Amino acid sequence: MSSKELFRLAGLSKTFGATAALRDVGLRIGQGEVHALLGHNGSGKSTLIKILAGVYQPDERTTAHTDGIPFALGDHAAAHEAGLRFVHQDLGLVDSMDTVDNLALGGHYLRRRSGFIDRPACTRRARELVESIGYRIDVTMPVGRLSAAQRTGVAIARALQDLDGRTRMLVLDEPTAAMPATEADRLFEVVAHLAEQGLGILLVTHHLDEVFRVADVATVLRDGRVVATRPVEGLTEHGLVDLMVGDQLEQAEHARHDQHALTGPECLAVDALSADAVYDVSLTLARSEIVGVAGLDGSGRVELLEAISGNRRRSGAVRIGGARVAANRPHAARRAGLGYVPADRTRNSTFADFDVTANITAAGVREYLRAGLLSARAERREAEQWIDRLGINPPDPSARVDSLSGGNQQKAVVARWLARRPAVLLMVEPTQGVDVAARESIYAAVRLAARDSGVLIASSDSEELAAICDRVLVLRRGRIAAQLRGSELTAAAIDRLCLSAVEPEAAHA
Amino acid sequence: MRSTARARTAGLTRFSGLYVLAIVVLVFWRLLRPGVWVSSQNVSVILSEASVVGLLAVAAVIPLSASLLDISFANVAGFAMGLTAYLALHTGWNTWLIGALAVAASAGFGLLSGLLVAVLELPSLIVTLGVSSVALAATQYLLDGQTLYPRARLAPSFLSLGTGQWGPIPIATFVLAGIGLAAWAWIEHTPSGRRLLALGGNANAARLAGVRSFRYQVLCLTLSATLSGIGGVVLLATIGTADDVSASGYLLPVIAAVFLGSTQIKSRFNVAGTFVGVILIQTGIHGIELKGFDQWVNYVFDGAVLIVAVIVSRRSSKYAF
Repeated sequence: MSSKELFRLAGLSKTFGATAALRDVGLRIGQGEVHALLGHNGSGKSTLIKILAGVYQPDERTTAHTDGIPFALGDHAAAHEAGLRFVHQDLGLVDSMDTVDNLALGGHYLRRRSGFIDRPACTRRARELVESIGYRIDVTMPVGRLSAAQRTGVAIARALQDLDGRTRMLVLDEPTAAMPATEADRLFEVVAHLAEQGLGILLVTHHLDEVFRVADVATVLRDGRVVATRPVEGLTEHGLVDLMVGDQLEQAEHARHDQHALTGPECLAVDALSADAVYDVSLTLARSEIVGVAGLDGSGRVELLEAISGNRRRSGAVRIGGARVAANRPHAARRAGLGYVPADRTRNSTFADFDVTANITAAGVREYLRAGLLSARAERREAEQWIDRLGINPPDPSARVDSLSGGNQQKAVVARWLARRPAVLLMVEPTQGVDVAARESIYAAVRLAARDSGVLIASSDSEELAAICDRVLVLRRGRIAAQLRGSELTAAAIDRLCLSAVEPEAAHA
Repeated sequence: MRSTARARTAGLTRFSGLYVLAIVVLVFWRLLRPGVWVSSQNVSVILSEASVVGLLAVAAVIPLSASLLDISFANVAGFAMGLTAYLALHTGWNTWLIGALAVAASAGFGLLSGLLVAVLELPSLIVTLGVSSVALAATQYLLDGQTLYPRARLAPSFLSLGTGQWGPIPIATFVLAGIGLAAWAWIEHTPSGRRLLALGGNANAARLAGVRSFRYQVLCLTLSATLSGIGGVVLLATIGTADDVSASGYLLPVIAAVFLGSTQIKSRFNVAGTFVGVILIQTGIHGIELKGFDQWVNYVFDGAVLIVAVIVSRRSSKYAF
């Protein structure tokens, strides 16, 4: 299929400080070719895309070619000039404006002789453009009300508009990450259509089924190197996963899984829960059990925990210690004994104005009442205890929490819930933005929590899950696809199952 | 360690030049009108006027602690003042009962704002702007463009609330002190006050930690309007007449006092700091009144002080509006 070479790049390296993000990377894309770029978190995919787009500069001056014409990498204008167009994961659309305006803002407005905008002409142009790439969209509807696939279509149209045949290659960065399967089909029809017109398409994705559906060639990155570039014909899913995961040792990192067979009574039961991006999930959790929830972004990993915690609309039943908890009411869930450490600390968990003490006591202030008033001494005693147990540094209960490092802030947030001894502790990305040293103390805190609680952790870090969990549920497209425990619970196995393209059957965990 | 803790509670670690400014203002007026300034009578007058400003400032600082801005307090106070005067002239009811009714009716405005903010998730600034206009309309309806002189029909015990003194201190100041103390203790030293502050600091995190934001939004806006009503009633007891404009004049100085106060003692809105702001602004206003400038000078002063107050407070903390 790839008749004539369209894009070529060789010898690209990029280091950040001491870390090599890309090492001697090469890439060739033919005319009319859909080229999938695959790789794990941290494999260097995003770095490569950002260098192509001119956001980052390569270590040494590197040239790429389109149609044999050289251009310097790391320069936004040069990449544009060379015919590279990008649709980034964050589409960058103005939701409150319609397609006509979004396209015009990315290019220019057509004007009347008077200087005012010629609205009908702009609308006509937008409609033609959108239809030319195979979409039918109401171009006068605010973009925020379009479906995910339609929005991506608008972003593609914006990337391809204006320029007179100079567009040579379209880079799509995980376009389906937050898209239902049916909408993804629609998108891929468009991608195939564009390739037929002779464009090169570089498709960054996590989903292997998409590779087999639309791609002609696949390049796999691992640890910053290209490990393979192969035609998709003749590849198997298993073979691709092997290329992505590599031959890591598939043995359990530690013995905890085996010795931890004894668990307490059931503390959380989720029955047929559905929410945005989560479909019919059932699971149980026992006291002193640590269960991980793995899955690609968009798999429903985070949404599942948000729904259980009462912070996201849901259907289905959630029981804590046997008692059913009302949906959509965070306070009711908390009162029933649920603790929740959300993702995005600054936005969702720390009180920047408060000191460490008030951050730790925030979820149960009533406990520190003495004679009708809050006792600063009781609060402080609680805080000191957790500062000591979790090694919060500096060990100053009256330090403002935003003067602490990310890791120590997170310890304070974890302490907030440990202090409440919840029956169930939910954690989303508990070590996001946390340095290595603090990571270990947070793991220690999780194990401490598991003495009294059942712990459910959603994380994108498979090594983290393999290291601290007794078992791990793997979500794919909103359903539990698999469960790992004991000696089969390894980071590589988690990755493998997350990436696997097989549509999950309804599994109960 | 202990001494720094004490310095913090005295506001000295957050020293921002405000005290210097207060002294400059005092000296400035002293030079303009030697002899008139520091008499005990003057102090009483300042304190008496500051009591109404202070009550309204407490009314404003409660919702601000939860990051809600209530700008209806001045017109709600005007409504309470007008309603009390109206009922005193048109009924034979006990003055204290009338005052209580007026305060309760004022609370109704706050309840309305609170429900609009909590249920429909509207911005408090816009909601209270609208409610403020409605409160003003209600006052004008009652007063029908007249100034009411209900003094003769108000109980002497009620009037002494505004004009009486215990020693050199006006009784209204004791009322303010009591309410201020209660508000301070509530916000700083009780679980529900802490939840209010949590909501103000990070509403998401507060909800996720189990704070029922709905309740607190309704509660603090209702409380705010209740205190505004009390402020209006005290104002009537002080001046003995009711019209539809005098309460509105409190809007800017009170907001300025609250913002200045947010730079004092704590790096956020707080009752104790607010009192520092009230004293400073009141001395400035009183100076202007003594000097007998035209009314427009007052407006310039109010506006300039408000803007300066917000500039000063921006430097030391951050707000969502």
